[in-house]
Amino acid sequence: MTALATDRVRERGVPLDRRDALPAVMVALMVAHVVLKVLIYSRTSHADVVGDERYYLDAGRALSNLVRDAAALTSPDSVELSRDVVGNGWFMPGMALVLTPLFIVDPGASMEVVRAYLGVVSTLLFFAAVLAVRRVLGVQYAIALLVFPGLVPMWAIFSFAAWGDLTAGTMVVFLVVEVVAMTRVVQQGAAPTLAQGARLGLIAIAVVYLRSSALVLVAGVVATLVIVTLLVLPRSEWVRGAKAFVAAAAVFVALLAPWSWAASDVLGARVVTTTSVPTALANTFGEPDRLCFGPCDPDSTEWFGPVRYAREVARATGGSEVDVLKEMSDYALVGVTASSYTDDVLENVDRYVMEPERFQRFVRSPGVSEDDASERLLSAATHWLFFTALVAGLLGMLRAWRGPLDRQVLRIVTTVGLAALFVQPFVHVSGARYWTTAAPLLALSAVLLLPRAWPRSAQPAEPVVNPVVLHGLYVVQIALAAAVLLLGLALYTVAKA
Amino acid sequence: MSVPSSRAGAPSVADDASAAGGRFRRSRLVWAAAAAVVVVLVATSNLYGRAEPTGRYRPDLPADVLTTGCYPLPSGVRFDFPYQVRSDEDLSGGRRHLLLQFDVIDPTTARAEVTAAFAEAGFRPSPAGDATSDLVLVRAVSGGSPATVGVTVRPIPGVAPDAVVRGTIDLDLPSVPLSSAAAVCAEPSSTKRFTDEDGSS
Repeated sequence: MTALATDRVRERGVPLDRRDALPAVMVALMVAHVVLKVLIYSRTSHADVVGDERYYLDAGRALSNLVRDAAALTSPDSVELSRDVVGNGWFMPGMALVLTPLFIVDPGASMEVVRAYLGVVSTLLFFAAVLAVRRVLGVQYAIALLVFPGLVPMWAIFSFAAWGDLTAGTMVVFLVVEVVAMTRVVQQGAAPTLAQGARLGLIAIAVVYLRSSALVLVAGVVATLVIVTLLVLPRSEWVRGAKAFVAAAAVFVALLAPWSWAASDVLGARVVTTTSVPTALANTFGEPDRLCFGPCDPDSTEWFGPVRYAREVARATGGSEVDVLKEMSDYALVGVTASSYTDDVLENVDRYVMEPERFQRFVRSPGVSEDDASERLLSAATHWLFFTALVAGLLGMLRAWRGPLDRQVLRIVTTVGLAALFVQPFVHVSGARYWTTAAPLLALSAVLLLPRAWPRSAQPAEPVVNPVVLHGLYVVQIALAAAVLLLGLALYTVAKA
Repeated sequence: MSVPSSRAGAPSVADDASAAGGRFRRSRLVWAAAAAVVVVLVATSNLYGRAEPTGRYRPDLPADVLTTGCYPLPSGVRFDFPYQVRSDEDLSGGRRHLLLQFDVIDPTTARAEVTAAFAEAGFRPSPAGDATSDLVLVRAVSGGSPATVGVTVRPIPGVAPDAVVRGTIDLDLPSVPLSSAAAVCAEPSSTKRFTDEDGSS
C-alpha cells in the first residue's frame, strides 16, 4: 500500500500533504478574487460608458425590447434593431445578450447597476471556468487561473466593463476543457457523444459572439480536435465521431445564422461575422488619406468617418456600404510595402502587450485621481503580474510533452489558441484590452512549464492510442515550439533593427 | 503512510461513475434553473417599461448638402448622376470651392452630365477660359456681372475601371450665403464645411 501510495504521489509530482493543501489554496484565492473585485468596484462603479461599450449597452437595450415585443406578441421595432443591434455590423452582439436580462428587469439601469451586474456575471462565469478546469485539468491549473488573471487588478476592472474580450477569454477556457474531455473519450477508443459535440458547438459560437476575431482560435482548436480524433479513433467508431462533430457544426451554424442573416439583410451584403475587417486593415496598414478615395471627413474618427462615407456612396449609387468599404480598403492599401507593414505590426505588438494597464484611466469613476497611491499600486500590480505571466506562458509554449494523448492535445491547443489570438496584431489595430482574451490561455500554458504538472486523468491500463500518433503529435509540439521561438526571434530582430 | 484517500489518489471507476452521475444531475438542475429564469424574464418583461437605446453608434446619415437648401447650387442647377460632396468652402473674392466625387460613371460621362446640368440652367461655355479649370461656363445675370462657374473633372488615379467611386469634380462657384434656417445647416457632417476645429477632434 505504501509503495502504491508513493507511486501515485510521484505520478502527480506533488507530495501528498501539499496536494491536500491545494484545494484550500484554491478557495483562498477565490475569496481573494472576490475581495479584489469588491475593492475595484468602489473605484469603478461610476465610470461613464467608454468607446465601444456604447454599442454593447444600446444593443442590450434593443434586445430587451425585442423580448418585450415577443412576450407581448407585437411586431418588433425593426428600425431600432437595425440601428442598435446590427449597427455598423462591426460587433457581434454577445455582450448585448449578456446584458439583455439586466435591461429586461431594469430598462433604465444606471452605469453603477450595469457595472455591478457585469461584475457579478463575470465572476460567476470565471468561477465556473475555474471549477471546470479543476475537474478536468486539475487543481494546479485552477490555481494558476485564480492567480493570473484572477488577481490582476486590470482584469478585475475590465470585468465591470461591457467589452467582450474578457468574457471571450473565459469562454475559451471552457472550450479547452471540453476539447481535453473529448480527447479523453477518444483516447479510450470511443467516439465523443452527440451531447459533447453539441456542447462544443455551443461554446465555440459563444466565443465568436463575444469576440468575432476569436473565430481563428475556435477554428484552430476545433480543427486540432477533429484531426486527432480521426487519427486515433478506430474505423468502427468513425461514423459516431463524425456525428458528434456534425452536431457541433450544426449548433454553431444554427446560432450564427440569426446574426449573419440580420446583418446581411440590414446592410445589403453578405456579412458572416463582422464588417470591420476592411476598415481595420486600412486603418492599420493603409494610407489614411486614400481611405475615402481621398481624406475622410475630418470631423469624425478613423472608424466612424469611413462608415459615414461608405453610407453616402451607397446612398448615391443604391449599392451596399459593405461593398464600398471593401473597395475603399483596397484603395487605401495599395501603397503597403514590406517595411511599412512590418513597422505597423511592431506598433501593434507594442500596443497589444506593452501597456496592459492602459484602460485603467478610462474605466474609472470621476474624481478618482490617476496619481492616487492606490491607483499606482493597481497599475504596478497589473504590470508585474501580466509580464510575469507573459514570460511564463511563452516559455511554457516552448515545452513539448511525451505521453498520453490528452496531455499532448492540451499542449497543442494551448499553443494553437495563443498563436491564433496573436494573429490580431498582424491584421488589425491592436489595443490594450485584447490581452484579456489571451490571459487564461497564458496561465494554462505557464502551468505546463512546471515539472510534471500534467493534467490529472485516469489513464487506461493499456494504451489504446497508436504510438505512431503519439510520436507524431510530439513532433508537432516540437515544431510549434520551434515556430514560436522563430517568430519571437524574428520580431525581436526586426524590432531591434 | 496510510492508504491515500480517493481525493489524493487516482479516482476509482466507482468514484468516477458516481461523480459523473452527480455531475449529470447537477447539469440537468442548472439547465432547468436557467430555463426557469428565462421563462420568468420573458413573462415579466413588459412590467418595467421599455429600454431606450441612445442610437449613438449608428447616427442617421446626414442629408446631402445639395438637397437641403443650406448652401444651394446656382438656381436651376440639379445634378442627376451619383455623387457625394466631399468638401465645400468659401474662398476669397466671393468664390466657393465645392468638391464632389462621382460614382459608377466614367469621367467623360461625368463631364457631360455636369455640363448638361449647368446648360439646362442657362449656363453657356465661355470662350474666355480659365487657367485653373477645364471648362468655364457663364450665365448672364440681369443688372449685374455674369455668373461664372469653373468645372474640372478628373479620374481618381489608380482606381479600377469598374470601381464604385471613379473621380472628382472641382467646382469653382460664386459664393452663396447660408440660405436656410434648418438645423442640419449647422452640421458639418452634412454641409461638409469643416473648420480647423473639426480636424483636431
